Amino acid sequence: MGPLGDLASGFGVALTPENLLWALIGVFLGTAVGVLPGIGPALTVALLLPVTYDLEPISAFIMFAGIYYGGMYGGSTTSILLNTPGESASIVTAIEGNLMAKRGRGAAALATAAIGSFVAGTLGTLALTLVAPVMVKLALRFGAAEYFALIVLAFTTITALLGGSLVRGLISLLVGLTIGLVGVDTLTGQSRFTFGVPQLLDGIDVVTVAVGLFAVGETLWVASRLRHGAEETIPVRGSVWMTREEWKRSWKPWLRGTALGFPIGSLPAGGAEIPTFLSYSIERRLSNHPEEFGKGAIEGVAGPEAANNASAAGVLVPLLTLGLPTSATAAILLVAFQRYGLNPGSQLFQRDPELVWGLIASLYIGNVMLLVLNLPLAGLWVRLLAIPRPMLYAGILVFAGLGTYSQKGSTVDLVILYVLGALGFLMRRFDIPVAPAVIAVILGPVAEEHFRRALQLSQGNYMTFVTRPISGSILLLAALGLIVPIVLRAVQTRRTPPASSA
Amino acid sequence: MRSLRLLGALIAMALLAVPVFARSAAPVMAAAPLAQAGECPTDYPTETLEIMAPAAPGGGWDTTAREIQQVLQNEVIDQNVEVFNVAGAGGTVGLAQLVSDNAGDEQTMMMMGLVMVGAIATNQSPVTLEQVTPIARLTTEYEVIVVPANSEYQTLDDLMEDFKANPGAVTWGGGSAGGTDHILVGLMAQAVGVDPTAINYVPFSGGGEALAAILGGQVSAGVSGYGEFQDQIEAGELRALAISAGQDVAAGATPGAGAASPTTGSATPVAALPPVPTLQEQGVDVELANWRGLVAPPEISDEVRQCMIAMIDQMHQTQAWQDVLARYGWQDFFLAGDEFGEYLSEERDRVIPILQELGLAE
Amino acid sequence: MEQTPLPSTPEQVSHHSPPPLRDRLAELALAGAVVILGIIVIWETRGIRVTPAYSKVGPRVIPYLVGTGLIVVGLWLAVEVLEGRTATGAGDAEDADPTLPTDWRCVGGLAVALLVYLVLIERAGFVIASALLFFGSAFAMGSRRIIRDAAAGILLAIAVYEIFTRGLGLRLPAGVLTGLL
Repeated sequence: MGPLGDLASGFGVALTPENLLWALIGVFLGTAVGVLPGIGPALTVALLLPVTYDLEPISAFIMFAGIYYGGMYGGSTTSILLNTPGESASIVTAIEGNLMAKRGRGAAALATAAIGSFVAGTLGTLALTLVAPVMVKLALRFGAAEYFALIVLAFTTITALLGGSLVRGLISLLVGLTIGLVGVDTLTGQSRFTFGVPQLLDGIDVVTVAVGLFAVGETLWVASRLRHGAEETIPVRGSVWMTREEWKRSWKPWLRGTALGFPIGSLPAGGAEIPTFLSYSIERRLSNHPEEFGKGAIEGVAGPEAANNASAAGVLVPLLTLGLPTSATAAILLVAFQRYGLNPGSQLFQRDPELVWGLIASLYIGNVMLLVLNLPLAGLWVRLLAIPRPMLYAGILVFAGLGTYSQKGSTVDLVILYVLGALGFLMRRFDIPVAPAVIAVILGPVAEEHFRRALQLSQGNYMTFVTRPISGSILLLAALGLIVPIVLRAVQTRRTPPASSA
Repeated sequence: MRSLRLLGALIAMALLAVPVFARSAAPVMAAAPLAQAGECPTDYPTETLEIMAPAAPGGGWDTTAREIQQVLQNEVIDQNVEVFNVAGAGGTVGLAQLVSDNAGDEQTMMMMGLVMVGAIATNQSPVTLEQVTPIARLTTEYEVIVVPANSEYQTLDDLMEDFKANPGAVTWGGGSAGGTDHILVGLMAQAVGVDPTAINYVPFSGGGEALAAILGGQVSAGVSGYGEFQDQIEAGELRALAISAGQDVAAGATPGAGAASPTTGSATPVAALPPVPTLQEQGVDVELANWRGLVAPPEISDEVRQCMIAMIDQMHQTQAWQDVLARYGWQDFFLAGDEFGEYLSEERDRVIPILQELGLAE
Repeated sequence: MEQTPLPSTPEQVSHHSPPPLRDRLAELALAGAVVILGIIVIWETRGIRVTPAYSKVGPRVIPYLVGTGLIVVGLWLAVEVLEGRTATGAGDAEDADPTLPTDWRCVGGLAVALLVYLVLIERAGFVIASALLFFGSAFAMGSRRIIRDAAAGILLAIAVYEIFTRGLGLRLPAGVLTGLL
């Protein structure tokens, strides 16, 4: 039986009323926890594991898959509306998405995120169905040098986010790198910049950084300059739904985001963050409306959202074919497999075809459910912004506190959150962009780790980065990405007569 | 007031999301308390028993704690059992909390294991395991040394030959620096006369990344718990060269490893020792068990301590616990009370010197 | 509300007439802070233990680079400020009016609400701390509809607590309300 025949029998498993119900519960829960900062799908699945003990494995996995995909959908909602990313993968969404919401296009941003997630999730699942074995072979060729090259490529996106003043952008970047240095050095086990605080040994969580700099920092900044007067609300301008123009500007980013997210997500150390950065930078370069970036460009929401959902499908490739968990949620799913006495891996497809194909079929179903659930919700969610400012910001602070505290149940994390909030306030006061710092916190530590690991593997030979074909090609691409726009701009200014620029 | 109504609607929606169904599917509390073992004169526990997993949900300690929770409340005691997580710094954040906040708390226990012994040394934790009350050691997993199927190394001897000749050229992929995998490579180096500081150990974050690096041939050899590589070994994608079990364990217990009886054949058979020769059998005199156990806070009365031990002993004897061991491929490694306390200090004396030699502890 | 607010572009900013002395001093203080942060990073890096283990690039290399980078950009900023290029109109948040002076009473009120939350979350419990945080920060931001804010805060706190502790089995401190919730 080919994959399509297997898939058909998988639908037979997933389409029972009982399993549909579990899928529905899963997507609902996933959306709910994805919305909240700090509480993500990984934590939810881990906490639900014990209570699903008496379920049939297939039902439990269908629910977990729903939570997983639902979390990816839900993560974008608070990013767009409240500038409070629920997961690290939706941090990029916050950049343009929140600006769109402030322009009154919040519903359109939510819609493009939901539809983009649907397109990417479905295409990603289709790719999982058809090309999983091929992807895995390619993924295993990625070593530390290749990852380092990929991160360098993602870092080039920061140049697009540095803002108007280069020096201020660089300050933000370096502050982010400094925050990223805190904790135990992965490669030597030595603690760095922990100042004797044991809670700092594991480093500062990226979501805490994002919530602190974005949400708490912005709340303090708004408070310091609040326009007093009537309780104003952000009006929804124009249609609640996406306009024809917005559709036209969204569909290509959806597809490009999918094309980036799925393969990178299927890499063992790929993750969901890197494709969102790459997608953002590509959309910014290809957009017909580059001037709108930084003011709420819909491409900057559509692309990254598609990328993070496609990467969620990609993560399942190594998990189901090799038993390789490549994200926190995948690691928990692996524990779940073990709990049911199943060993995922190359034998799972043969040993438990019903489970695997039922799971994959439920991913298609879950995607449809999520779209049906999220599109009407977009109109409803956006009315959150109709809450008077003081209550809205008060609510943001409550959820920021909840998300940060509940991760480890430690007030030390709250102190870190406040310090970061104060930092975010100062950065706004001095016109320093916040996004480069957050991206540096995500990419800095992994860049260092892969860089040094690659050198350890090559026994100190720096040429490993350029002589390995995949790594060398990606680095070349990154170099071109930096140089070509500069050259183009130089050529353009030379050709343009000075009169027309005035 | 419109906004208030909206807020109300939102809250109602959120409430709907409560996993009512998942909860109702939770196992019914079937358990009438079994007759308590002789050593415990009183009724214990008298209120909800709390088990701290000093790690994030989903990890080894968390999984073990949640399985203990299920078996205890379904089969052994008639109180509720709650698991809570205090993650951070290899469990030393949780340990510090147990010693400072929970001292004398008779309804709390903490999951711990070999990794914590190492983490206390590497993180220079001010609080140590000497301050807690040992209850029982429960499980262990043995480490396995693997190479990719297409590797030139057919046997452990092949690998050790290159390792001895040029330690830096043999790259070992495994878990975090100073963790069990790293300790094992350090002990092996010592055993075959290689300077531990010369080994080229490449730590990966998370089992998946290390496994990918091994399958992709990025490193010469990999080290991890047997369970993490089991499927790939059985599928022939990895070649297992040795496991870290001691000779006595390996000799005595091939089919059942001390388990009470084989389980009714639902899942994999009882945690049998993997069919791989031990390091000691192949002339490398090292054994290392990645064990897990339970400790209680300081200042616990002897009586309550006896009750805790009796309760865990009783849990250990249930069929449900043996099923748990089988399901996860854990070895039964039960040792209770003072003997466990002695074992703790022996492990400390063995692990800390090698960490010091690796430059990871002072 | 119809016109889209134009975020200040750097060109506009730098073409302003010389900024007031107070702003320039604040900017210089920022530059100084960045340099000092760089010095702290380098100073702390000297204390990171370098293990004898096999590694070409040790745990100190990247921190040294970051620390040096901080000093360089700090000095760079100082030069820009001395040349008269400062940024004034910061932030493009629609709710904030960048021309207003900092309202320290409002910020201070929020800070107090946040600190109360930090102190109370484990002592009085999550519900009380969250409800107070909600009410306190709404009050600090100028809302005077006391009953509505208090009711919303309490409802939100209880709803969140119930969903997470009951629905997910997450542990949030019950505090003084133990047994009641």
